[in-house]
Amino acid sequence: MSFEFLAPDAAQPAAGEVPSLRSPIEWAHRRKGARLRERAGWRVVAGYGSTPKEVAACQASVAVADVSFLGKLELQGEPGVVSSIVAQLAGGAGLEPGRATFHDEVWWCPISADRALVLTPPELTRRLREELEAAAAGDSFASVHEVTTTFGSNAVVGPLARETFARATALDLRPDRFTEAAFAPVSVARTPGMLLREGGDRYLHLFGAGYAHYTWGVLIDAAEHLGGRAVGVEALSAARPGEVQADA
Amino acid sequence: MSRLPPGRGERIDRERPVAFSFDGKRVAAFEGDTIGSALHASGRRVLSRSFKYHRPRGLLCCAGQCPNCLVEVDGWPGVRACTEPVREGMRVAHMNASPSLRFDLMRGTDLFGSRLTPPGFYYKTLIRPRRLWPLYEKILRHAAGLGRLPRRQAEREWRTEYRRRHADVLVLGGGVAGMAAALRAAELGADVVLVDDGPELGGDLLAGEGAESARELAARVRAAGVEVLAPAAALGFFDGIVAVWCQSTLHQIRAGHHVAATGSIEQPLMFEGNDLPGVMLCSGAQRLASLYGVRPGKAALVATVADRGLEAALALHEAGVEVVGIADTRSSGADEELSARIAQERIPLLRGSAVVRAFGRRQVKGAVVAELDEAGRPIADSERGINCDLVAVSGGTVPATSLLLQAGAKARWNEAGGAYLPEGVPPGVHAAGAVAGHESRDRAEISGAAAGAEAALELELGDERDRARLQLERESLSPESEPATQLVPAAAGSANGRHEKCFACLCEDVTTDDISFSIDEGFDSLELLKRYTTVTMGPCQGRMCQLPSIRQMAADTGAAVGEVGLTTARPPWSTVPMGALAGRPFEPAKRSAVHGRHQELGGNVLWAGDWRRPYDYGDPEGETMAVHEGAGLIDVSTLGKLIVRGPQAGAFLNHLYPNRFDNLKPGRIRYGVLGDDAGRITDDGTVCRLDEQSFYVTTTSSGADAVESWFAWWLAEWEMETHLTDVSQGLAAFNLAGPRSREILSALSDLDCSNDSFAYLDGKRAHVAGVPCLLLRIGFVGELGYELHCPGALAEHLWDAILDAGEAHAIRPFGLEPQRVLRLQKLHILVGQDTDAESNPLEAAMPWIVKFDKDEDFIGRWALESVNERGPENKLVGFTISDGVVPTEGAAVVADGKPVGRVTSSRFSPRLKRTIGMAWVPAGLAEDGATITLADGGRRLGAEVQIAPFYDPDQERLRG
Amino acid sequence: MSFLLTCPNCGEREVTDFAYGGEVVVRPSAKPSERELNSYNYFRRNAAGVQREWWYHRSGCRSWFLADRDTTSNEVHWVGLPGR
Repeated sequence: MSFEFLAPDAAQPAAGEVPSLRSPIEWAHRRKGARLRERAGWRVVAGYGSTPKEVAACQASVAVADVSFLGKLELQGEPGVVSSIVAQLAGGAGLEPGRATFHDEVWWCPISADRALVLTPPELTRRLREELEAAAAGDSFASVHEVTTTFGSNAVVGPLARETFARATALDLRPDRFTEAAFAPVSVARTPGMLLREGGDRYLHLFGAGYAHYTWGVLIDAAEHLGGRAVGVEALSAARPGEVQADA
Repeated sequence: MSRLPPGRGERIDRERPVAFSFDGKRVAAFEGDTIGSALHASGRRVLSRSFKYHRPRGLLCCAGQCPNCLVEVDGWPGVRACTEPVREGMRVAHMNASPSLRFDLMRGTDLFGSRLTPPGFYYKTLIRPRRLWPLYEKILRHAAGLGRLPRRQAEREWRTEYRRRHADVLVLGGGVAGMAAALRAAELGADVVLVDDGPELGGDLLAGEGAESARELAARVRAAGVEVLAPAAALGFFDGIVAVWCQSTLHQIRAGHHVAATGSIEQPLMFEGNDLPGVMLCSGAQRLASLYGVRPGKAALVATVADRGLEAALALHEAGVEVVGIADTRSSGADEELSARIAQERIPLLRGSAVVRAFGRRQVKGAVVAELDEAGRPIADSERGINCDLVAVSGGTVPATSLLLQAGAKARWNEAGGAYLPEGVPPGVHAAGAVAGHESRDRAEISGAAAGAEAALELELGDERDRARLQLERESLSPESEPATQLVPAAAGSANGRHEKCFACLCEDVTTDDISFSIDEGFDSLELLKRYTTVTMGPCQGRMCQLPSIRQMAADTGAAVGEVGLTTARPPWSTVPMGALAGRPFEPAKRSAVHGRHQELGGNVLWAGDWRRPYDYGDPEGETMAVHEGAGLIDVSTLGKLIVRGPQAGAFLNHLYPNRFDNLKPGRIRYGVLGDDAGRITDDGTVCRLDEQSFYVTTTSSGADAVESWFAWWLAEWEMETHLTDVSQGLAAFNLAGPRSREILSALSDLDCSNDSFAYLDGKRAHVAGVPCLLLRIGFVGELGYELHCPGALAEHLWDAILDAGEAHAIRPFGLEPQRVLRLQKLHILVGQDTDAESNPLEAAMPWIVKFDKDEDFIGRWALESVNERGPENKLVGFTISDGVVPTEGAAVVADGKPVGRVTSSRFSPRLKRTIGMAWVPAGLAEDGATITLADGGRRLGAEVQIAPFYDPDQERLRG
Repeated sequence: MSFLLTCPNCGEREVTDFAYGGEVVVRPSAKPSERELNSYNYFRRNAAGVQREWWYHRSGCRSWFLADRDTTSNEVHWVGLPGR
């Protein structure tokens, strides 16, 4: 075992039980009466009680969902090495600054020329990690680290998602500036974060996992003030059938 | 009833009555009224008492510009009654008068005290005797300020927030120019925000005959997709951001282009009693009449210096107000058509005349008018009294340049325009309408549209036809076609001696005599005058007093108005609650993945750096003893954790640390202390070599960010083939410590935990309770212990499993406080607690860590070499006190009555049953058994120096 | 102070997203004299005008980069990554 201590999916059965994977603030969701369900070893928030209200928030105002279970992998290397590994695994796509590439349910996000962040559905994290490690084992030095738990992540969706972020970040999120698949490392609520516009009015916010409780509080407060609410993954998927990234 | 017959432009809905209370009395109003219009309609003329002399004041501008109508609304002080819409049931109260608005005891300062309170009177009269200052201060604090905040904190809290808005074009001012600018820019495709301070867009148009066209234009602006913020106060330009306060949100607007269409501000006139309720700006009286259908007065005397007053007189007359006369300072030059209409309506027009005094006790009863001589001075025997209850004044207008000046423009005196106009407007900023000297409706609209077009074209919107249209608009705005504003003389006091005060500044109660007096005292530049008299420093921010004070200064010093200049325009341009600037509190706090468990276990959670951490779980002594006797578990997820990886990783660390890491064997751990090139300690932690190319570096909890950035900086500088990955927040870390910890770990893992195969300073990787972990056998707390690092998603599982497995071994979770005692027993330093910005490792009891025999250079080497050559001056040592007294951390170490060092840590150790601590002492005292004296508050304490750790100095327990 | 700074990786951001690393100073390549060491550690040109300085994109890509900034106007004339 080398860097398994970074990988949640390396958990093994012990005493007849496989440790389940939890959001950094599952304790807070439990207290809010969240209904949890299993997905790829994770316990994810299915909902907080009223799925119709949660769906309505996704469609009519703004909904915030904890999707910390998304896999996150960091690839580092010389710019040429990084781009060739990305091209190899992301269907030939190159990385363009400020813009993520979506390929086979995986987001490839450029942080700098020599660093990329890969976001995966939890089912694919292990496979992607192994593929990346294999690709990085070439002649030039490149490194791959699992950083799934380093970042918490929230999906913020709905017509007022942009207004919600306007209460916490200085980034220009106007649709013609922050176009679909735009990716930006930026301060949100005075903490380092990353924003990805997955499409339409669906945004993904990544932040240091230690700040998960704080960030959740800030965004929920802003969202509720605008008529929105916290939602579980069931509402997320019900609100947009066919999408696969952040829902079950 | 003082309502006028319904007019076309009025904002009120006479079908929908609204009632509120003022000072406890019911006031009837209509939907659409402001507090001020409703109070005026109910016959109330006095709305407030002035700042210094507590003189009665009433409506003046009716546009949120002046300080006269500040009231308290539902407990909130400082609300402008003239712009605040009425709401059913709102409780309005006066400010700054006691016991009542009608009878105010502090009025004595006006009637008897004004000779004793000249400008600067604090400094002149309250300096002797010196010892009475605390008393003076108390009295002054009571007398100073306007309004009172709610006493209880809970009543002061209300939700405010920031909103960031990016826009292509931000238009400041919703008059005709601003609306035209916003409309044009939006029509050309720009994303536009329009900000206006009035309850309704339209600006000056609303007060006159243009209300309907203003509303039509406003509807087009909205239909074009412009975001309208109103009523909203633009507070200022802040490096490209304009802060706008609207309702309970502070909008921080960053726009590519700015159009300043801030208009102009009608100025009051200077005469005795010019602050009496009933003296009102012409535009204010017009607003009352046309927007709210309120009769501003029964008999109005209009005093003016320009055609604006003639227009107002006609408008008031048409609205049904009796105009008893117009005093126009000009003997000729009035617009002929206006003059003819005035003659036709049989309104007496007194050319070359001015009001020299208004009289009345609580409100205007009449005014004295005098003819002016050629120099503009009143002719004594021409004075005559006119009965009236309204004096509508127009002292000309000044362009509202403040925001433009903040944006970087300069104000230059424009002789033709008779005003300070903006020049040198910076790129990306456009001026339109009256602020740019385009006063008339048509010119304002054209200049606005042109500014909007300029902004849009510079944003590469629009086409050649738009460019051509802009060219035509620019040509039609040639400066010659603009009529010049008339200048006015300074204070026109009665030639028959002073009867009453004449106010240049209503906010701060500064009279024209005060200004003259201050100029005589030598404060003869405007900036000095401002600071000395506080003129322009009140809530109106110079809107009502800038020009009067400039005119007075010009008259007194013989300078031309254009030579006097303007004072610097600073934000905020409008009054704003402090809470608005605070916004919603963003207090970033980090929490570990098992934070919920700490709360459930009764953890006493407090701030520790930017983390929320349990200091203890209610029994720090018991927790300490559990670590000594059985086992303890502490959450150290707060530690910084970096993976340093690459072919040159070892060499990189060798460059950063004073000791060696390239020779560390995989699976082994070494303590490291980080310093800078001045040799000073910045952080410390452990480094575990994972494999040939990979190191796992831990840092202090508060130093995690700084160390990552420090490493990244040197990597950027040295360009070594090394990668840095910060996993600080991704991995949870728990320190399982105590003599029973080996058994607990063995029960949860297949790992061979015997001392031979898992020795002190070994780093292993294994599953513990099924959780993939990096295990570091280190001993910060001084007992056998293992630091377990695992993915945060598995932290709760691991924490629960360890506590379950440890139950049989009397395991207890322990907090920061027990850890502090435990580490102090071992003399393990806390960077930042026991060290400061001057501490180096040679003096901080770690000379062994600096490897001067290392071949390569390392950060801090040269500075440490010099310290080494000079020999240490001070040393960090341990000390004990036998009688149980615990000195305060920070207490001084004294020798010969002088401070020579300080205590950095001190605790009572329940295990050792005595006080232990660490202190900086002169190197000469740094030996076992030396006695030092501590001065702690008033007491002197004797302590004994100890160099070796207090607990387990031979490390038998740690390594066993 | 709220000017915009352009990160070579991320693009334009508020300056509050960055940490300032001070003007670029060259670390002595060989053992300096006491005076040289002190001037390296403690003395800065503190130019009123354009100077080359270090910036760290603390809230973004967490990279260090160089910027030529006019200290009198906060106008940034050039930014770039070291060594590229």
